Amino acid sequence: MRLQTRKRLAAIGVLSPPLLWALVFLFIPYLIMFTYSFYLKKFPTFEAAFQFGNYAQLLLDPQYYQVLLRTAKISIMVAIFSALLGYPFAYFLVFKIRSNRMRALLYMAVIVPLWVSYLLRAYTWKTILGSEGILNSFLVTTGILDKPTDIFLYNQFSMVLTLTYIYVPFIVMPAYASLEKIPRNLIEASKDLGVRPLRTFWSITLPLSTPGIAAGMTISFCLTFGDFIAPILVGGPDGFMIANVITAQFGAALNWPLGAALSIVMLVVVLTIISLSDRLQRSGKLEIA
Amino acid sequence: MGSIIQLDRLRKTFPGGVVAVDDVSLDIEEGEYVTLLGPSGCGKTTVLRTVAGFESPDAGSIYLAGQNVTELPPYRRQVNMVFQDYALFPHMTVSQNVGYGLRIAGMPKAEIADKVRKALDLVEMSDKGERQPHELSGGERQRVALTRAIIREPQVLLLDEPLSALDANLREAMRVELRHLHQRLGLTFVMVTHDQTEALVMSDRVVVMEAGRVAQSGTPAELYDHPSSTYVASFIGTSNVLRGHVAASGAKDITINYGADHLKAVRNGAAYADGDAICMTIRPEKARLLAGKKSDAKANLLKGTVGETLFHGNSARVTVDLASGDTFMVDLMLPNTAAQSDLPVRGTAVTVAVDPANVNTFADEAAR
Amino acid sequence: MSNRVKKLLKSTVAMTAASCIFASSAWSAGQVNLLTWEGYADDSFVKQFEEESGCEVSATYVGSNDDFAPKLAAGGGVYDMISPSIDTTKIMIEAGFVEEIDTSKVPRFSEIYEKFSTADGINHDGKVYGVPFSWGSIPFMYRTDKISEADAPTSLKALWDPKYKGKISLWDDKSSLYVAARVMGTMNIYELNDTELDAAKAKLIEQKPLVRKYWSTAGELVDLYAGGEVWISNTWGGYQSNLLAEKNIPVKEFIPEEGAEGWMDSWMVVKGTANTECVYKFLNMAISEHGQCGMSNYNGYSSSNPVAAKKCMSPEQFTKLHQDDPDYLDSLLLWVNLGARLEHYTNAWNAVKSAN
Repeated sequence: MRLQTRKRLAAIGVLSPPLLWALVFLFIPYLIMFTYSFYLKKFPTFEAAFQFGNYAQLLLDPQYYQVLLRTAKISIMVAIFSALLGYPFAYFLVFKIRSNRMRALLYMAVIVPLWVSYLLRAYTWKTILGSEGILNSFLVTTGILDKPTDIFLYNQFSMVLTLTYIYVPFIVMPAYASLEKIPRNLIEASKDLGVRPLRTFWSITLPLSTPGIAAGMTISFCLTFGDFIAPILVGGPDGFMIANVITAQFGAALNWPLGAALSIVMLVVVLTIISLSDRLQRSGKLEIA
Repeated sequence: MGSIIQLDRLRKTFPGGVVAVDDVSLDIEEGEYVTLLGPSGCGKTTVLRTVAGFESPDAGSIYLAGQNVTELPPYRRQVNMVFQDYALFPHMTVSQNVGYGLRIAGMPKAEIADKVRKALDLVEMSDKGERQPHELSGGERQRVALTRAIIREPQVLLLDEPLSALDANLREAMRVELRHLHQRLGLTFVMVTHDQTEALVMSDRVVVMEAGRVAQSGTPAELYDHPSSTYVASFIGTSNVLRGHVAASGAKDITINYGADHLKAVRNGAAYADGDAICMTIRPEKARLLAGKKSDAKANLLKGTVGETLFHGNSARVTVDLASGDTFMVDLMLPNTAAQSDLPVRGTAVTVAVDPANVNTFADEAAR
Repeated sequence: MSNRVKKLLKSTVAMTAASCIFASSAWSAGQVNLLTWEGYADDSFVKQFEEESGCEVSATYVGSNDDFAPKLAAGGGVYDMISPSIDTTKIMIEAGFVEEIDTSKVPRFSEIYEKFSTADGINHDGKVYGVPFSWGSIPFMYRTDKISEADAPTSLKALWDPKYKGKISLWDDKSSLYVAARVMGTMNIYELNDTELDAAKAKLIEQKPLVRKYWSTAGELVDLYAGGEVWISNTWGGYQSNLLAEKNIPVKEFIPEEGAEGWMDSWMVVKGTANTECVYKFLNMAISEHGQCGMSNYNGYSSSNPVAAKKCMSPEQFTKLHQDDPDYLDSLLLWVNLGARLEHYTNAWNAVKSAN
């Protein structure tokens, strides 16, 4: 009994700093945010209240769900394109590269950019995609275009491109981990049972690496969903995303209650996605057609 | 009956220059249960994987039922494999695992279900069709793996260390079960193992491999009684190895100078010239101890003193220090309880008797 | 309003700086802590002030007028002075962030342009809350190498002209609505009713396909011009055009037929400051020759005290900054506090950006 008490105390001792950290820096701020979302905007600031006007405004004014839909659309595209690029790369690393050194090198090549500032990397795309950028110079020099085009930058295309580039590593890492975990003999067993490589991929490799893909896509979706820099740096007039709206509410509009309500909505969306993805990853199995 | 598998001078070198398979030729008869036996790294698994198509040989050919399949990918060979750790698909149920190959091949659902049920019946697993692999015991997984491999009615079933992941009791039961399955199905089984007992108990023929080469191939009895090298002799069971020189060779037997003694051995077909260095292997249980002044005119006699005596319950192993300086092991069967008290004690002078028929000879490779 | 560098970097700097200030001796005498634009506390003129007055100046920078209220609302006691523009000053007063200024302790207050010193934005219930410091216009600007002299734009209509499709930019600010209202002939841009706001909003949404990008910082607009992305936009008079001239990008500012907005920044004193003595020393320095020309030389903006400016500026500079041109000043549509209408303006502008 005594030992147990001591063990429990030790557990509390070990766990309390992170718990305290989470409490102070996560739960309490969320709680404050949640509280604010019911406050009443009163010029020039706001006052404590309990009313659903902010949420009603989000529902009634089309600008908010327009932006939410656009943000979701861009996030889904980024998640899909990141997966389409990152997964084959991870597959290539795990199954096609024989040399361990080469594999480590290529893996690092994908991961290292994460150490480079996000701003710098986004900025790099501006110099590539701009009207007088590298891509346009190339196309004009080679005669593919007779004058520079401005379709590459300051639109949703450049946002999806930049964000995909930035979040590909977040797919490569979990996809690599989940592919590496697949015992080679499962793939051999499939071939042994008369199944061709492509079909083996669809029936064995892909389902078994789905948790990794799902984890990666969830990360890139959620990070994109909360992104406010890409719209500023490479987005055009149609690139306004939900995080920008929130920024505007907390800044220019001085409407913290509405900003808080938007934040709560965003939090709910992200948490829903995460829990769905978690369930998918945990079930760990898919019916094979 | 013809040979179902023919390996012709297979050679496989791995990156880094390790020769895993070195000039291996092998014929396997249809319906045979052949075991590749050897320590890890001897190339037995590589041979098996080459037959399955997971490795392609650097040189040599593989024929399956007369067809050259050397260049064929695994999915186009009519062989199936039971993997060492079973390789069951974790995201499928038992039935889905077993029916996987058939399903991809496009067999109608009802037919698959029927075949899967029958196949699972065969290994008494039909009530566990809806389980996930992780819900099964080791033995059950083994059976699922087997069922999955045989359901496509392959020409050859390959088994890679099929029992190594099981605990000792289960392993023994599965030996018998596999043997029965082999008899029932009439399939050709090619198994890889490092366990000599497994090899002897289960196979029609054992191929002992050493460093990428075939050391000896034969029935378990042939290998046991007439090993052709000290390697095989020591890998399969326990042997006393004595070295001598051929003194004379007659039509039926040869005489060998061993120290001060002349030993006789029954000829085994090998031709020796007088004076050739020769190895003799004698199984401990095939030698006897003669107490006191007893003699045996037909047997070879070696004098010595008793060293260690190890009691094994049904038998005892007595170590005799021979006059030649070698140590010789003799296994005494103990059919009577009273016999225990008769076990020789250390220092007793004894004579070891070995019938010429029990002296296996081969040219001494160490002297070559 | 002044040098606005990257908003993002700024807020980080601001937070770090704020915590540093707090951690050091924010309460000790001989200090003045500013929440201001980057060029308003430049060493080129503040250094000397520190030496002469014994007051140590610490500055935290804002990137936008919208940053003042959130920073002050988030917790007081850190800043002594702020320098919002004339459309934001009233909010500071009404929100109770700032305190009355005793003009008897600022002897040269009377030398300031009367238009500024009596402005509604800094006078409240008969009390003075701000000391005007600088002013300028929001003119328009175009690249003279891309748009020929013959085509030289004179009207805001150029910003809706399809021939400049993809080469147009507007400030990412509610002021876009002022532009849209004026182009439609609505000149009471600070008193737009809902219908007029809706019309302005629709006009801006109509313009969206032509817009390359809404610019949000001075640096960004300079990059947009330098990278050939933008040929025509609004700008902060004198500021970006100078930066572009340094890069040899030929641009020309112009005041459109529909007029230009004007802005004016004032120093305000944060309520409850513990550094009153240094605050007043700073206020007096700010409208002296030293402060006025220090600011004008560094930022390129006009001064609020023409008496001081006259003494410290060359005649050319004095003219160039329209210091002797009351008509120019009167022609500007000086920003005013939008009051409770602010929310409707910001909402309308957000709706423009949110629209598909």
